[in-house]
Amino acid sequence: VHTIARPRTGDRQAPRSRRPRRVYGIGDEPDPRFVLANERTLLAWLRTALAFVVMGIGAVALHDVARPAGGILVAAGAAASSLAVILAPAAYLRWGRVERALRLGRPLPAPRLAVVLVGVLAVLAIAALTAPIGHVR
Amino acid sequence: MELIDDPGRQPERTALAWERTALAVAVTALATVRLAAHSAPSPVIIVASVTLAAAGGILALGHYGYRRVTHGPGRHQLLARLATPVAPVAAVALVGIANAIALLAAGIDPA
Repeated sequence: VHTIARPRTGDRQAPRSRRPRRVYGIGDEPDPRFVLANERTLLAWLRTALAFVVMGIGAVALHDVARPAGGILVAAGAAASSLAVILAPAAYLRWGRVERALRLGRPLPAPRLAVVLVGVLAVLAIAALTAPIGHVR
Repeated sequence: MELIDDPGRQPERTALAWERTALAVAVTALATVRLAAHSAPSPVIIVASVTLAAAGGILALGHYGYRRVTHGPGRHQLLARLATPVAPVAAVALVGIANAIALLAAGIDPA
């Protein structure tokens, strides 16, 4: 059976050296399994952000194939890569909010970030479907 | 310390998530190299190298973060302390900025 160490009751406060204090300065140490799950969720968001970077590069690589639409492709590519720069800190803020909720024993915050991403993906998908019309030879 | 059952092997899964993330950054570096077909190669090489270095950093930090969870901080105090969520967030943001600049350069002024 695999076990995992958990701080004893009464020893549940994070060491003062742990940063950020905004997160670790409050509440009690939660079940480490939840802490690790929250960390994995952050990493999953980061991989999503990286997928947007690769999508941006892919758009520029299509440049030659759809030459008249090149400008649109480069703009879409730059937008997709820039989205990663917004997604990474947003995922970090969400990680902090979830960690604080875990430490305080409160309900987890609503997944606003996922809702925003669904909207962005819908817009990108429509753009990708309509942009090549009349352009690709 | 109180030991709790962990049939889900949480530390291993977390270490694997760090590795997957490092791998995703490495794949991004390969995609960056593809931009060299569209622009001057030297800036592309710089961005690809930075991206590859970020992948290596995330891989190392994931390893030390795992060691910290399973064995305590140990000798590599600094690395274990750096293995917080801030590090991969900063790395991915940097990779995003660098690649956005590289692809804009490649798209606007194709070689």
